[in-house]
Amino acid sequence: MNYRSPSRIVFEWINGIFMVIFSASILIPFINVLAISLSDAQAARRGLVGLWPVGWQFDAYVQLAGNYRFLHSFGNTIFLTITNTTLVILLSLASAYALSNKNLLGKTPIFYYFIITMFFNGGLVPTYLLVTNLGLYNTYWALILPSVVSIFYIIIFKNVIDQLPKELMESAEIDGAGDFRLLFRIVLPLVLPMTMAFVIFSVVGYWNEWFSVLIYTRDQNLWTIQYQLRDLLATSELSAEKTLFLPDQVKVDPKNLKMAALMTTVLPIVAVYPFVQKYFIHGQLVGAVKG
Amino acid sequence: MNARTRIKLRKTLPLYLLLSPAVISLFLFNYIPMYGIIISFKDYSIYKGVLGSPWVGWKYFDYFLHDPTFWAVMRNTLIINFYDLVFGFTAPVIFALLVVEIYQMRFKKAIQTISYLPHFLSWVVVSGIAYQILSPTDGLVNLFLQDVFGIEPIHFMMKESIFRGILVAADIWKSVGWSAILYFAVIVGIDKTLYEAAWIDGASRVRQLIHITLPHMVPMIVLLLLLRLASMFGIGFERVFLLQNAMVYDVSDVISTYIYRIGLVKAQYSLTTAIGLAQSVLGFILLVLSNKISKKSVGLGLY
Repeated sequence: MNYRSPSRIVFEWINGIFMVIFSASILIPFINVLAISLSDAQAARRGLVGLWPVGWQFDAYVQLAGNYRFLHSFGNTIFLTITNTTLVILLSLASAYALSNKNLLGKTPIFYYFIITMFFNGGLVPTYLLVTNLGLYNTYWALILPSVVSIFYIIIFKNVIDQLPKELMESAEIDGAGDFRLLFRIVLPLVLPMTMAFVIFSVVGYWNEWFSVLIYTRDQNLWTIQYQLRDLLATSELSAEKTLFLPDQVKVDPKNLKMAALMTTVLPIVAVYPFVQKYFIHGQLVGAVKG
Repeated sequence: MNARTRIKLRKTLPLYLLLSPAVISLFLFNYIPMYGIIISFKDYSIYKGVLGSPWVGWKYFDYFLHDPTFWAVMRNTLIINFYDLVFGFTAPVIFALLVVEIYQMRFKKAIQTISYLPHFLSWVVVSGIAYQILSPTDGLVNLFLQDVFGIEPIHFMMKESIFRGILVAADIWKSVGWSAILYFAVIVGIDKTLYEAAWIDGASRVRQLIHITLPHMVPMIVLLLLLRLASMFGIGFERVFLLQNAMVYDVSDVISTYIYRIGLVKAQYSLTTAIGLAQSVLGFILLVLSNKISKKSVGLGLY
């Protein structure tokens, strides 16, 4: 099919141009934000910055790197991302492994017990009241515990484990391996690609988490980076100076800071994105086919 | 209990240990809140607790059904959802069809990679970018409109007439590429010989699209549409909450943001639980109905 009709060529050009414009609509905003964060205070305040920084300066980033609040929220996000990801993956693997054993008594009721929560839930307010009544309000626990089980991960892990060759586990069992050994030595290496996809999904999800901070906390020490960013973006120019105490007003405009903070939360994702893209796609496809 | 069952039970004991954390967690954070729904039929007070609070029957349902604010919020929810369905849902289908028509492999890969990226950013970031880009004083969009077309700066985020459009556009911007992945997979999986046969028979590109590509995409489209319909009464909280501001509450306040504001901020627990319950019941009915219709008309369903 090497011959291309004139109308085909016209279509391909229009399509190509459309795609370029579409990509530009995604990339240009980032370049603009980055440029503003790197421009000098005057240019940022007056809105003179397009796609290239006006009067280079890194002071906004230096300022953020020395800001206790910002660093603390960064630390919180890293802590919560690691804890939550570890827990959700371990619990999903363990549950899926147990549920795929056909000797498990009460397997079907237990499976339904899991599945039901996918379709019905108490909703925002009853969940909030429970967390409050358990005394978890305004603690790290409120940001960890309510989201440690992912039914979606469990179902997919279970499907994958069900398809593993049975002989493999039987022979390991005959050799005297217990369930924990089986799970970590035999099963985990075999489901590693799926696990990687879920680890990356979780990491991105928790990195972007701010909603649970909004509803379950009021203490600024529990803020995640996204919540800190939201607060910073939402404050007016004047109070932004107050919240982040700017000692050196001349060099950095609140606008610089806002854009620099935004870039700081985006850059880690953009940096790892090219390397993990295939896992993302893998996860999305498996989820659609089996979920 | 016979001996065999006992042996089985002893052998699988470690499995229950493996299951217990998830089972306990689900019990606490999913089943107890489900039970907590009964407060929508009670006058809940924190001091009396779920059990101790007095029953009030349908009082709160009656209340919100006669509350004009609720209906305004409901209307917004349905309108925005309708736009999401018409534009947001079709966008990935069209995008996928256009991307597979690109024959320069590198260009295609680049477009796909770029288009997936916004999916991984939080709504906090997306709304921050939106406010910056659309700012009337220094936003790139207004600068562009002013320089090229001489249009006066538009207060995009504060105009009631365009704010819903911005909500829908932001969602498309964030998710069109990512949602298209499923369609890419479908299109790649179509048997190539079908196209060759069609080509030999003299079918044009457009006819191939209508008679081969689209029919193959129907199952996936229907599946995603059904899932989409189930959430007709709920709109993702984050997008609306983060993009909206006081100037556009009238056109943008939806059920989820309303529940948050009067439920958690103003502590109207029973009322908002009642609204939440009505919302999930309606969503469930819609899912069952549309599944039925879909099974009858195209022979496809979720279950």
